[in-house]
Amino acid sequence: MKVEWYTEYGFKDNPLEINPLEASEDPVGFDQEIEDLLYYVESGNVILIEGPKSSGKTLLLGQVIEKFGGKGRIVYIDGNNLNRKYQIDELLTDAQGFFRRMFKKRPKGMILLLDNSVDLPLKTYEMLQYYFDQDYLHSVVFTAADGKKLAMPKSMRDRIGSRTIKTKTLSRDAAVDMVLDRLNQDIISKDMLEKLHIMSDNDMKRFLVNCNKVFDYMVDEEKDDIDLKTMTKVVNEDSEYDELLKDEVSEDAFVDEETGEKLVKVGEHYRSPDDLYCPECGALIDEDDDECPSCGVIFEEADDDEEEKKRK
Amino acid sequence: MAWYEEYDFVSNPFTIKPQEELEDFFGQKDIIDKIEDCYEEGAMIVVRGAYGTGKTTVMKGVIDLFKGERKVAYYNCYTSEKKIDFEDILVRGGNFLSSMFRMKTKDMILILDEAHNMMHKDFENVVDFFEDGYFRMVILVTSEDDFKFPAEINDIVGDQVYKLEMIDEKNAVELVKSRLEGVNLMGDDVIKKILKASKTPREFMMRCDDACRKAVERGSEKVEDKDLK
Repeated sequence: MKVEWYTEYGFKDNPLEINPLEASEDPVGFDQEIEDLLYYVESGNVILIEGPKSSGKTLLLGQVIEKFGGKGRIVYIDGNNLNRKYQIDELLTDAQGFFRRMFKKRPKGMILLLDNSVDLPLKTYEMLQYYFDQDYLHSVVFTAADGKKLAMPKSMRDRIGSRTIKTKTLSRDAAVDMVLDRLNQDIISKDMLEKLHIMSDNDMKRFLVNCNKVFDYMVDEEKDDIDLKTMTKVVNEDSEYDELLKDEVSEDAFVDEETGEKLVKVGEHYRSPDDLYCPECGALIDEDDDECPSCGVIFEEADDDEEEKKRK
Repeated sequence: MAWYEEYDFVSNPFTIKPQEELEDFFGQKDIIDKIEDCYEEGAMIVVRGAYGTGKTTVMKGVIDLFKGERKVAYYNCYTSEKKIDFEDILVRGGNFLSSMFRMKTKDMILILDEAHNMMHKDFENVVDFFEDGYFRMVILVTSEDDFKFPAEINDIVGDQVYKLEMIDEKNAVELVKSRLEGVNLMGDDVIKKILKASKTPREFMMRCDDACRKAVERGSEKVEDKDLK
């Protein structure tokens, strides 16, 4: 059986755990943010955690889970794992979906954590707002790199108000110091760690991945030291750790659940080729409409009438 | 420990959620009274109010007021993507949030939220349904201050337009006092200052919460200017 590098160095858990929700160490440099977040969650709010990739957003959610979890109060949904637009909607709206079951079984006061928030359908926002107002959801936390880019209704934004928590990318010094502090023994020099950080494009998550790769190598090869050339080679080799660096969902992922067809943006709406929509503004129309009920454009009668309406 | 727990509150007294047990309606009770008054005669009315002025609270107040006796249908036009199917509302009570209560269909109250998103066909249709007597009362709610409803709507609504505004000083002081249930954390002066800095009642509540939290955290029993940020 493979021995984990950190076991060799006498650790029970990985001090450089990459998955922020499994980290056993307390987060560094977030004291005020954590205090604010925990208070907002406890007192019933819609909260936005906003910050660049790998700046600790999920780590903060981990604190919420640690404080309020364990009593079945928390629902954690990671947008990265919902790579289809409709999946989350289904999750929330489907009568058989867990929301409905959840509310039948459980009392009011759930806490919903929507990590890496993707654009939710408006109906889902409406439901979230309703559940929040009625206190079925005591608090809702969204995380996003840029909150402004979320297609969130103004009414939801207004409920967030000033309850926005910003996370910043850790500086190189702070990141390197954190790793040295957690290792707490002479495994690698500060200078090498700084170089490793640069190789990681200053990305905290990638930095942790690369640390794990390097220490894995050192333990496997029974090395006490590593030179720059070897380190570069190790970093560029594929490993299971790289799996954890999956990127955020791109718009390409917006496909129709049933047909697998890519959705097209028409006006404000995402439409499947199977939808019947106005080619001008994207509003959904009925088969017998001869003008668009939204923008008023007249549909021309033609043999390929259907085709005309569906034209991209 | 949250600041309000130190004063034996079970939950945040400045919650922004509409509170059933508290009849303060964010200080917007007058509008609910007016709506109740004009129900008997039947009316189409417009409620205007920016985000955070208490629209949800007022609508919830109306639903609570009429529930059990009359049929109230709620329809959010923001999330509707097609023409509104008024016949479907009459039969089933509309989309997601609707609350249905038994009564003769003709006495139904229809709340159209975010009504500025209605399609022009919807306006024509709602006028037809109203004039044919299918809805006793139609309440068009909008957060867009300068949205102009089409003439056929304005003709029926006339001067039945209610605007949710920022609460005044007297109401604000009363609201805080009633929420704090006799806990004397905030003086009138401080309440007025917070009100001045707030654009909406919702923001006002959030700022009160922030200020109390700061004061209690630094061990004070009174909110002072320095707690207002």
